[in-house]
Amino acid sequence: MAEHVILFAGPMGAGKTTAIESLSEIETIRTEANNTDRETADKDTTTVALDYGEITVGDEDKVRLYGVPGQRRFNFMWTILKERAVGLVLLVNNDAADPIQELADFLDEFGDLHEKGGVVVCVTRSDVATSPHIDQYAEKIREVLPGRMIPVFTADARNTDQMRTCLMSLIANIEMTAMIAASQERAA
Amino acid sequence: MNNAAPSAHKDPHIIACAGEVLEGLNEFCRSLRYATFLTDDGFEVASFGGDDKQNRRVASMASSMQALGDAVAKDLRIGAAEYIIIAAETGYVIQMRVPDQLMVLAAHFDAAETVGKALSVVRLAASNMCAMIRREAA
Amino acid sequence: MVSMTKARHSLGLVGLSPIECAKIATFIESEAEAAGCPWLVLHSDSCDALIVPADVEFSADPYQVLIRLVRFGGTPGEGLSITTPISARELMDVLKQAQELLGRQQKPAATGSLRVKMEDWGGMPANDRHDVPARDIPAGFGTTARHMTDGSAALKTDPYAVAAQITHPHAQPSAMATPQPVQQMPPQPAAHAGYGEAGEFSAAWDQIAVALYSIVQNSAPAVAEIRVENLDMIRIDFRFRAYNSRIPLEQVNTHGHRIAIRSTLVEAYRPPIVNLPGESLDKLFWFIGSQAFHGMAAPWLKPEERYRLRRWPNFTELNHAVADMRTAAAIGNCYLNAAELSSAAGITPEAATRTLNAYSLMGLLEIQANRSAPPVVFTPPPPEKSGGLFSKLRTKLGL
Repeated sequence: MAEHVILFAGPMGAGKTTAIESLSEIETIRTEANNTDRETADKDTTTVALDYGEITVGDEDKVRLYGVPGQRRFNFMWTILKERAVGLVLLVNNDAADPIQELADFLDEFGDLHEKGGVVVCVTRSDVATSPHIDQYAEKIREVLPGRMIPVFTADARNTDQMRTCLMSLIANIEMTAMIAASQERAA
Repeated sequence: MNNAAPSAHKDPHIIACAGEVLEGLNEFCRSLRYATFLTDDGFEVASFGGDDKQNRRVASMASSMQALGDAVAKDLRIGAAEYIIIAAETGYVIQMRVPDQLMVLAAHFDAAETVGKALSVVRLAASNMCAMIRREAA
Repeated sequence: MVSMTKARHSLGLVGLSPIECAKIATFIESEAEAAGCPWLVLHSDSCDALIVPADVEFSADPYQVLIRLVRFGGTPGEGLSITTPISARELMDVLKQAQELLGRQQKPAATGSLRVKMEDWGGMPANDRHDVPARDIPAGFGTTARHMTDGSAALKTDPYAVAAQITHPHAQPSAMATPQPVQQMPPQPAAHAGYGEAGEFSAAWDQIAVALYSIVQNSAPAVAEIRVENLDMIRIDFRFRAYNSRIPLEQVNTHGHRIAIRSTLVEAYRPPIVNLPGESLDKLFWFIGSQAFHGMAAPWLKPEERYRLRRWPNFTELNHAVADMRTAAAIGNCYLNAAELSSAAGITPEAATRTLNAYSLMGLLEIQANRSAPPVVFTPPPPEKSGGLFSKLRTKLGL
């Protein structure tokens, strides 16, 4: 069975756990602890190891969805989970103090996944904070990863359709990038 | 669980209690190499035997381990995870939740110690911590 | 029967007072059709003809016809002019003369004479941003390159708001569709802006698309209202990239022939005309752009040029199909023309053209600077059944 590991990363409170729940067809495995860091994100619990969900596609493929903790103090989990990943859904909450900088920080950590497969950025809570606009995220991506085309969407992590759009776009981009690379290789 | 309590890693009384318990643990068990109290979500409360960077890192990792242990126990429907043991070539790491607190004790012993004794002293230290916090609160 | 592709001229109102603008707009809306001189009124100074106050120093470009507005006590100079108070008859007469003058001028091949101002490179938002701004910039539809600061840029600081409107002059049914009451219109399919037979736009929407493109290119703070027959109305505030519509876009009467757009420049501090946050303007542009022009390239796109996405469309807020994701992935990763996009994404050339039209209207495209660059040769995508994870997931999720 072919495994396709997709990572869900992003700052605390961006909606990673919820996004995986929206997509997974199994009951998600969550490793949440009571959140004592209310200054960073005002929510009751926070992921401290990983979240896990999956989608089985026929008899041959399984899409494994791993959520990593948002806080940098858990970056050892980032390293562990990144090794097997072929794609990244990077979630950023638009009502954070400096979401564009958070995007840059996470791209700095996870941007290499674009070379291994692909990355898609989901801007959450854009209904709560209407700015920055996704153009500004796209601009930052061009600055941090010049020459790369990373899809940016606004999304509600609770909305299964929207999260499917994000996931499908990620996979479409991964496959298309591979196809272009193969075509160019043959042409060379 | 005491959800209303202020965050343990920011409470000077709890930090002092944790330091005191760790000192006692070290005196009681000479094979102790390192120990730390941490919050469930991975913040260091007090440590014995490590540098600052290591203390923070171990606190985070122990938090993840504890959560993974809890997740496995929950998934297998075998009740709450009591403690976690990592046995390596030259020592053990035992971690255990402090009763009724959002806190975990993680302790590293060298190979000279038996697992049984190490487990006993960790359980004792965790209980002492719980008792001290209750006394403070009272 | 009036041809859907009937060439029309654009009329720019420059430096006029709001009342003068409104009066001209109203006269054109009510009289021009009957008088046989259909004009597209825009707040652009790059139109075929311009109405400019006689007392304002202004130099038009050689291709433009200048009409002077002589206010009370003023003296008419050489060339075309109208006097205040403006009368419908005088306006129609002068526009007919302007039409004749324009008709005598040599027209660019293949495309209509409608002109729109190209973008100010420093302004936002901007469509079709070229990756090398220093190169020549194409101005309008098949015309030679020029920059917007040519000619009349000095008048852009005019304190008056400039009203502009276009009206669709075709009273008769178009060849493609029959007008129907809104309540009888079936909803569009929930897919890529449904450009099947049922979703075919009337030609009037082509002009709406052109007008919207023009407004966006101007980069000036503007608001607009699109009135569709049977009282449907779409209000747009370009400053906030937002719109409101009384009914969902999918139910807007796309067959309608009585469609008008009015746009007005507004000061940046004026309150929005839409209920914010409103709907994203991209949603409207996607809807109109992918359905207008009947599968032909938008007049501002050039077949010899290749395009690439500056950013992906925000699919979560667009009425999209799964195939659109593959299309975006293809044109997001290399410069392509419509034929190449069709091959890369496994869609029809018409669908590729419609997609390019929509992306362009949304301001998502950049143009390849090096026209001599070799095209990317694609191996055709594998058939659906033996496809990759994308196809399998698509089937699995029932998309």
